[in-house]
Amino acid sequence: MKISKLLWLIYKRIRVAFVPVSFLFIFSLYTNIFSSHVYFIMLGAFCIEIFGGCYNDYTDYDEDKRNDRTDKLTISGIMRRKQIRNISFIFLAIGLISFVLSNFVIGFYYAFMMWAYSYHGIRLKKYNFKGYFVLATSWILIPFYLGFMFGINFSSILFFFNFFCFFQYMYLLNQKDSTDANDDTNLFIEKGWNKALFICVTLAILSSIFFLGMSSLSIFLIMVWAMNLFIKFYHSYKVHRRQINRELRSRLVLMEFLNPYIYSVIYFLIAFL
Amino acid sequence: MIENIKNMLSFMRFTVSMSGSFIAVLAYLLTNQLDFRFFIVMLGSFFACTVIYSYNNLTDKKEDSINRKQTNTITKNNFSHFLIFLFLFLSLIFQYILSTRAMIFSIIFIALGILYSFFRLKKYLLIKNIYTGFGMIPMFLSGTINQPFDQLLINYSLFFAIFITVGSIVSDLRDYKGDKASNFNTIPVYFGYDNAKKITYSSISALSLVILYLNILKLLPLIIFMPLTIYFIYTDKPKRAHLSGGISIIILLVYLIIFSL
Repeated sequence: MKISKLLWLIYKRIRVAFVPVSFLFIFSLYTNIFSSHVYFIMLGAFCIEIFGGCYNDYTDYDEDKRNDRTDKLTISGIMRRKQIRNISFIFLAIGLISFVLSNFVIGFYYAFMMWAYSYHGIRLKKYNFKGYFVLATSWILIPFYLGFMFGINFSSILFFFNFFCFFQYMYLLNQKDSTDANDDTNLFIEKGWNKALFICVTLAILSSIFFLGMSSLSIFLIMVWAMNLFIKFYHSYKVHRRQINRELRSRLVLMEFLNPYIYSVIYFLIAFL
Repeated sequence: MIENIKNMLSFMRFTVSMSGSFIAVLAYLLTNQLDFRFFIVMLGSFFACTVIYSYNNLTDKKEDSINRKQTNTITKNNFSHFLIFLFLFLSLIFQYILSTRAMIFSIIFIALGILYSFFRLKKYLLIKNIYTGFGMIPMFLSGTINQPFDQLLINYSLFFAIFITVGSIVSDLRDYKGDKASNFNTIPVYFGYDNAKKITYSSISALSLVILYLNILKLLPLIIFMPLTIYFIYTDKPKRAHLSGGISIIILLVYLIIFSL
């Protein structure tokens, strides 16, 4: 196998983990807090998200094999099933250690929910919307603790940030089912295509509203908001026309979450020039 | 008349709501000076808990009629919905007197609790315990009113979340027979009764270590009651173990009031 292919597959596994990092990055852009604590929390959230993905690959091995998803590390024959489980536990350990180092114990709740999402005894995944809600509750609690850790009093901005994270994460989990039509459990089949699309659009609108509320602080964030909204709109349109596939979906999601980084590049360019 | 009041109190789950409101009151005592707001915090959080438990009564109507063989008469008529809205209104008014921050936190708490019954999360293994424990955090935060947070208070809130999680595992031990008969996936049913006992031993002893790390002087009553709970679980008396945990919270409350005077 070519190294480029291998790197491509690893990149595919990692890219979804930029979601929580991006949330935290938005937080530090807002509050101008760039301390080592935030970086450790970012590292922790990044590792926990990768842990969730790898552990999910381990538990869903049969389902992926049946659907012939060769874009996964396990199905394409690079790793064995138990290897990816062991790797996932290494990431879990790194994540938890970095949470402990940064005194961010609420991260353990997030890690537990990530594990419960695909563990066969609990398997939040099979309850669709309800399960996604339970997983996303960790993003109700995390922003409060982030705020309080750095001595920020409760304000409307923290409140908006909190609900933006929650609804954005819910949206992310719900739209994911639009391309996996052959899975054991699927929101878009269980509730019907139009109803599931309605749920996704509602969540997208709610998250956009809260993001707009956050953007009242800085004019630059309105650009990020507009780009985020445009991509969500385009994404929903594609789902409505049923022209969506796995690759397009992941690229759109990545673009939604690369926005703050683009913003920060512009910000620093303006600051330095 | 007396029967009506009794019905009302059982619909509100008076004792459970009262013990739920103690969490917010504890947060208040740990952060603020003792004054008249004590009663407002208590009433506001009490009504917030009653909203959740009375809604839970409505959704679990069928199961309660099988398990307890008696249903509350209030759950049968439309009056119950009116009551829930009344409780919600009262709790929001009391919290609004304190501060808007307390009100927003109690709204989040009520939303989490109502969705717990609406989505029927009690069927999920482990999620039930951990969700109830960590769902109490907004309630705890609402009790702090307007005090800025520091690292110690964050640790306190997480400590009480884990405390309630362990308490719900003990109550699962208590309801072991009923849950097994009706095929509920609780910890004692899934992992076995003896393993669940081991889990509670280890978690209670871990909690007592956390108390040593946090603040022994302020949480002294809890650490006295912990060996007693372990003893009751060891002798297969989970009902008494659960009761002793509840009593320890009440004694902690009285202790903190004396401490702050």
